Amino acid sequence: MHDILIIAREDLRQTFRSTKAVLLLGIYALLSLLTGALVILISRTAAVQIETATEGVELPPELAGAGSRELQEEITRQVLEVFVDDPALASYLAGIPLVILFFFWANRTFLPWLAALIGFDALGRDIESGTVRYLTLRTRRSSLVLGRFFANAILLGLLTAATHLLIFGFGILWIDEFPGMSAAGQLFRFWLLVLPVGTAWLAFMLLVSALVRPYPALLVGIVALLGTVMAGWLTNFWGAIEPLRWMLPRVYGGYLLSPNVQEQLIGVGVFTLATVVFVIAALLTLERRDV
Amino acid sequence: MSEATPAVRTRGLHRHFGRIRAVDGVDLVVPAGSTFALIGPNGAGKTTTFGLICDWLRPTSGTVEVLGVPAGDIDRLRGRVLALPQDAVLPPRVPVIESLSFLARLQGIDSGRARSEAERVLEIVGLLDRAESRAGTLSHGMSKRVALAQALMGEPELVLLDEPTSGLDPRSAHAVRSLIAGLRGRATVVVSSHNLHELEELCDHAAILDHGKVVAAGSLDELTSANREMLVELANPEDEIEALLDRIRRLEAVLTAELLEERRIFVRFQLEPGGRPEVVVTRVLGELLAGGGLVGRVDRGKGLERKVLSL
Repeated sequence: MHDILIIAREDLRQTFRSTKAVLLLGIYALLSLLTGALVILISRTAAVQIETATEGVELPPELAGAGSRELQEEITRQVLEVFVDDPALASYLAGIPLVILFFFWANRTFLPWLAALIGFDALGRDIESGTVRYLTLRTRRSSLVLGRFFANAILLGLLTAATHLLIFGFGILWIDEFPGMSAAGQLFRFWLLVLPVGTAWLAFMLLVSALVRPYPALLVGIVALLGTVMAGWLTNFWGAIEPLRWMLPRVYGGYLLSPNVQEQLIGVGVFTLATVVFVIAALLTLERRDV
Repeated sequence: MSEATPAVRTRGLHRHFGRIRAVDGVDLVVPAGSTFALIGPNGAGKTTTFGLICDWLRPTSGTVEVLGVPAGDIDRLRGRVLALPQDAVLPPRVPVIESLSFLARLQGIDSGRARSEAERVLEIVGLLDRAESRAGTLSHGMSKRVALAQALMGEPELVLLDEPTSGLDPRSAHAVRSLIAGLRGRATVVVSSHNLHELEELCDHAAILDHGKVVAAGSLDELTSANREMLVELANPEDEIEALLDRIRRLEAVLTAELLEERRIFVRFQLEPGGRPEVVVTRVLGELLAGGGLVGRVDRGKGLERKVLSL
């Protein structure tokens, strides 16, 4: 454990002293701000359209007397119902500020990319440069794997925490009727839910980094892989293949949004299990390979 | 580790890369306390053997014991075995002192002492003034000396050096050789190099590898026949040399004495039990001088280079 801490601390120290951390934070902060801006744009457009559409129109009895916000929430609920195919879940999600929902979606979608940027060279850079030879004479290979994994997990946790804070500030400053405290609670909960997804991707990167030696080529390969996977998601190609659907992180990512604690735990459990499996595979790979 | 336990012992060591048998059944014993040379042409298997001893490479079959325990048993070997890999570099953007302090902490030196230990070894390799420089800004020679510095941290019992002077200018190479010589008596040192003169100067034991096999191994004196042979270069005319040969053939310890090309005489001798080769060499030279011999050069044994070339 002592070695793991030394390695993780040194790794984090180097990352924060290099431009890597700033660059990653910049990219991810930009993503947050874009999400916020997009939500403001959608909300304002929707509000204008609702106002125009309901001008002089007699509303159904259950919506009579409802304000623009309630109407917007109802429309959001109906739109979400189309997407999630579950009225209870749609009602639950409609109560969450749109900016937070969008942000969670964006986080879940782009997290693999962030994990790839953080972890693509987790072990490869040391193997490629030979630095690993100085390390393996002094510590177990498993300490190196775990040290690097924890350093990257902490970095990912800090970066996502920073962007969650940023989106909270954005909401407070620029979104009308942003529910401060409850939004803070929602964001904190979503941040906790994002962590297992992120660490699972980091563990996957760790495994790939232990397997492949020329890591610049590895980054290109990962970008191509993630691009293909994402294209599959967008076109619902993977979802159409029933057994494959259950292999998709997206399915379990959906569980994380559920109001049902049991489903949330399943989601967290699956990602945690994936993390453990990938880390163990990375350990075994580095133990068996030449360095 | 007892004196009888070798610093390194390999048994039936094989390492194949596809069809290539880089190491093909190497049985090697590196005596504790020795300065040991790993010799061989390119592709002989030196670096692979080196990697197997350091546990960087996994053997196809066979075993490696280091200081009496299996290679790679970090819990028992931490800080006791250090190495200079051939091409490894320290992180280029990190100051040298920080990289070395980190390695020192990792090998078990406590945080409070790690930095001073890093400074100590940088001073030994003459680079204390570059302690705050990033590794990527150092010249090749300086990088090599920093890499050597990390192999000296703490009190290692076994230091493995792969091509420690390759690519260094003569002054740096001399400094590195002095450092290695300074380790004698404090640690077992294994040196792999192409520079046979350097190895002859530094080492007392050697193994010669070729095509992945050990073709000769033992003490340097045994390998070069330094206790049995000598070569003397004379400046006398050849007819005088014949007379000189007759004189030394009469010496009791001399078995044979013959004239080679370029006025060199080759003497094979035997030692009495407990006898010293220096005594015989001095007697031969004394006889040559007494007979009017003009001695240009004397070599004990056939030299490592001739030994390697003869294999």
